[in-house]
Amino acid sequence: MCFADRVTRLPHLGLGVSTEYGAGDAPRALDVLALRDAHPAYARFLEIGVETAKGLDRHAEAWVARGLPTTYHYLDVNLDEPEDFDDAWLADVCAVAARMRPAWLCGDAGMWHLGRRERGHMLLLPPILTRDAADAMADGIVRLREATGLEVLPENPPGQVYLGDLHLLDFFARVVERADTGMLLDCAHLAIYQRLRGHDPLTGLDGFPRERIVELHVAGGSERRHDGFAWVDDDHSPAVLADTWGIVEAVVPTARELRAVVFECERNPMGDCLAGFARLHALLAAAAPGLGAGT
Amino acid sequence: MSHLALRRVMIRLLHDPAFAAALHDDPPRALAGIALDADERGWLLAEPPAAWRTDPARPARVRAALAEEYPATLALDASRAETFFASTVFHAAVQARGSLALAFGDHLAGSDDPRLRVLARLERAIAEVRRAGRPRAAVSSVPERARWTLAPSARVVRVPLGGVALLAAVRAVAPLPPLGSADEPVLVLAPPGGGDVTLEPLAPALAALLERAARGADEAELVAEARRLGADPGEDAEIVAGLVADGLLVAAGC
Repeated sequence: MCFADRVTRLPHLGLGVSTEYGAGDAPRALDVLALRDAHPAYARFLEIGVETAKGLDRHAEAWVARGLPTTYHYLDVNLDEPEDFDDAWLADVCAVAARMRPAWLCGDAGMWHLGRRERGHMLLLPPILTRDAADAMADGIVRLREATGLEVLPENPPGQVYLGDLHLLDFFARVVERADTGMLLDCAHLAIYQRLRGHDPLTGLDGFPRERIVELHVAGGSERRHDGFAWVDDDHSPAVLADTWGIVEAVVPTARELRAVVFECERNPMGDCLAGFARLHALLAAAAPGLGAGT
Repeated sequence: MSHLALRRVMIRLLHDPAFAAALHDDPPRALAGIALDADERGWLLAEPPAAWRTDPARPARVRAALAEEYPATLALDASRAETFFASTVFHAAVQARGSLALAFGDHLAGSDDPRLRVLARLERAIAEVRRAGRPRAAVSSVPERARWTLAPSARVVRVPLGGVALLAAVRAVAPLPPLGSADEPVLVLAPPGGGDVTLEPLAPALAALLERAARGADEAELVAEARRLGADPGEDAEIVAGLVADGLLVAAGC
């Protein structure tokens, strides 16, 4: 069955929030269940970042125990490295997924760890933006989809250095076409890339297959400078850059298969995040009514 | 797959400022031996050097994580750890998809201090057997002509006599015993269900037999080796069978 058919079976999750192991225990961090109780329209699902070596923390466990919707965001696979798909890891992914019952798998499609999965090896880097890297990544996506029986949505990762001869969006267009899958477009990461390359925030979007965009990420970032080098720290603060909002507002009305939007603000107090949730909620209600953004 | 080689160069640049400087000072020399084409080399050189330094605390964070597996070595002297990211073993480990923790042990074991060398080698072996992974499921039958090898959860390490006592003393913050000049073979073993790794001095003949097995051998070769090392006829096969039953020897590839 091709993606155009498979996507019709994916649920419309609406606006949600994310977490990862330990994030909810950080000082003044967002309590995802409290957000759900206070503002159910802002936390219709939880995207859970999973390292199989750690599993789920108490906050994720509590969400899952209530039978609420989830997505599984992998934090521990280099999709373009065949050696990364060992049987033990795949078994762990399937075991965690069986408990979470996620709508799909998704996550940054780059390098999560240098070499093997080991202490001290974690390091998120973007892929090398070349055709052979895109093809290797697509092969990994197909492999993971076949092993888990779940849709696998690659996400464009953040970075301070992007190497390669393809534009980021051309790279991921090739990935999703070859893997015949959907895309998790991280609007904040895309804004970071465009600024580093000196592009307008919307450069390249016209050539991207927007019918493959299933999920969006929105997050704040902080502008930094180091020895004269200007970059944006993807720190998931509630302060979303104007470039990022511009991308969100351009994509939402035109992504006809959009199923989910995550506001990534997991380490911030709820009160600091409500304005961002409200803006996203209003945008979805106006521009993507099929997403069920109503309360 | 040169994109993987290129990404590994990126990792090295993010951890080693000296390598980043060398890349811009003398690119052919810095990238010697790495399978990158002209475009890929050009992409690296086009990046401003400061782009590799946006997270200057990264090396210290990684080093702190690696240090957790070398507490005794670093308790005696932590200075050598500072030079790890500039070492050839670090760069080789990244480029070959190796283990940073084991490379860190190799780097520490290059110390001029014989006590540090001993501690680093023992703690490296502990780190190595901890990475043995989950115990393999019991095989229902082993091929008749199976080759045996030492289990991944076991290592034989030869250190100077007194090495195990030295490790125990550092751990206990007790007076340090002297090291002897003779070899002390030590079995480093991770228990199958997890828990603390054990270190056990070995009889020389048993150590030699396990070292022979570590290189891969069929049963007849191991029985012959046991006989050569002093076992009686009949006893030789029993010793090999006992090592298999204890899980110290496993069928290669099973």
